[in-house]
Amino acid sequence: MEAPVPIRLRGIETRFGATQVHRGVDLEVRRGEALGLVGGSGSGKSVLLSVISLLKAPSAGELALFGERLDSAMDEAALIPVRRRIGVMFQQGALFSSLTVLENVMLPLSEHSGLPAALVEEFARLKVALVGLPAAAAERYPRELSGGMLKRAGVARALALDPELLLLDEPSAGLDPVSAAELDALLNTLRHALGLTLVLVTHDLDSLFTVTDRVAYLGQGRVLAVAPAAELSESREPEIARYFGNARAARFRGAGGG
Amino acid sequence: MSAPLPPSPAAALRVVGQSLYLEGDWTTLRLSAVADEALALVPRAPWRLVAHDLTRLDSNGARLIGLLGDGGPPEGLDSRWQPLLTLVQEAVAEAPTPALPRQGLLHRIGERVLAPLASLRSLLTILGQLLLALLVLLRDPRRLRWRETLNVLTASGAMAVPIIALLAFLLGGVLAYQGGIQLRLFGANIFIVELVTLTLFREFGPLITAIIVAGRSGAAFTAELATMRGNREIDALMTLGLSPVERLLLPKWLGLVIAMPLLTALANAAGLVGAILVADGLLGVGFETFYRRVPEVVAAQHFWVGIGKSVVFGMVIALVGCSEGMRARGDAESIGRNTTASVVQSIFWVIVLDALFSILFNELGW
Repeated sequence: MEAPVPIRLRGIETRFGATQVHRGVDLEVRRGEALGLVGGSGSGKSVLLSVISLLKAPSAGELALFGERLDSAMDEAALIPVRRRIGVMFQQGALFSSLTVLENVMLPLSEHSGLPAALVEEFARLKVALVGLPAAAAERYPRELSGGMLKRAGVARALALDPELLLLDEPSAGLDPVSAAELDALLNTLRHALGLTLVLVTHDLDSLFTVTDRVAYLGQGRVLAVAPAAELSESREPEIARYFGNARAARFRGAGGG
Repeated sequence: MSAPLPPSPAAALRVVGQSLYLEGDWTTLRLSAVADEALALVPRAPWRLVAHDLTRLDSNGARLIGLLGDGGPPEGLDSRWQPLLTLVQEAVAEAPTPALPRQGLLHRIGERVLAPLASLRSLLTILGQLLLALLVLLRDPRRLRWRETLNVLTASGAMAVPIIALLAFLLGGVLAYQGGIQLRLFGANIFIVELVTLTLFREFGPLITAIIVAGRSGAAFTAELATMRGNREIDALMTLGLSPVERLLLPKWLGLVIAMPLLTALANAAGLVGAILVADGLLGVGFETFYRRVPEVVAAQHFWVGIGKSVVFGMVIALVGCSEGMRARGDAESIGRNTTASVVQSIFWVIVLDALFSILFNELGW
């Protein structure tokens, strides 16, 4: 029994008013893989993630998640079963500020799983532990956490329902190199143990090389190339070469100066 | 037993002696079928677990298995689930549930008592800062942020004209109606002029204006400053060597101090129009009577008492709005809470001050 691919995009176009962001994005994400999304500023990486998260409807094209074709005409109720299979981690965590970390993680569980409260709390504590947060952090409010802890808490909430697909918007942005490396390692561990499919938008070359299997380069409103990070970084395509050239140079400067 | 539901059945559980047979999908959204039963079995753990017919497992399912078993893998568990089970067991083992530091009743009572004091302290601090900034401004008037002040005058003054005029008009009408019915009983129709004008000018004009301005502008000041705090815009101003008090608070304060008396005068006028309309219809005391009688029997001091009060109300509303905004932490919850606190406190202080003014003016014989 071969399960359908988690994400299939065909000719996706999106626009904000007069600005066209995507002009025909074709992309397929395989089951169990970790795909990186890169591209220059304004190339529509985060917008594409919003399309996959079912937050922004494309103006044209076809989006299929888990083999199910979704179109913008579908009402919210019909999307909920699909949403439950997707976890989204937002850039700043987007934790609900009036709830503790534990309550943040419990929220999707108690809304969707129909499990008794004792188990919901047990599972939420497991998620907090899985992302490597100290147990005491569970009782904290988001404002009391550091940036790295917020990201972990964001991952914990995204994982609450054990989704098959985890979407991450710049997971390591704004973290110190040690925390960023730890988060990358965490993503790798979780991904293999939980059998997750990952899609991450990132500018962090370390993340690209250590976490992703393949990287999709977005430019000129399309996917210009999809290849493993090492291969893509050798690309002759001028735009891609420039991206990796500059990023790499920045990395070496950073390493030299640090 | 029953025919399996394709593609795979929901989680199921069979108890045979000391053994638990785990079947179907032990995944989060399919666990509810066994959750209650499994929870009831947890106190008698460890059970011998058999998982030949377990079709799928996720981390939450693995956790439930961990609660039921002795920590080891169930018999017959598919080897592909093994890493997951191990990861979950390790994660839980590393993180013992902490004992929560519970706050005692006395502690909470203390906090409740001290909280208003903290807000009063912040109010006084902001007042001090504003007065200092005002002194600087008096020495060097070019430092006035006139553009910001004009913005406040537009948003808090000009934009509030329609709503204040409308509400004061209605209030004036109601006053004349209620008072007029009583006066008519005594045939003292003509005194409606004194009744309406005095209550409007001295009390209701300034009060209704203050309450609307507190709800409109005081709340807006708090929300704006709290959001700026959240974005660290206020910190940014300070690092640039710019004073948030001078740039943000003083224009708001001055703006309201100028707008409030103007709005109050407007409320007085609109209220009078409402009152005249009602008095004309109900008591036959029309515009000409008012026009003749108001300057004759109502001393100008009543008007100026109300205007004077409204200046103080404006100061208090802007002060509370700024103080609550600067106190906020900037997250979504705190913005809501401080904005509420701002409106409630402003109206509280307005009414307390109004009561004090009544006593004061009575003593002074104004």
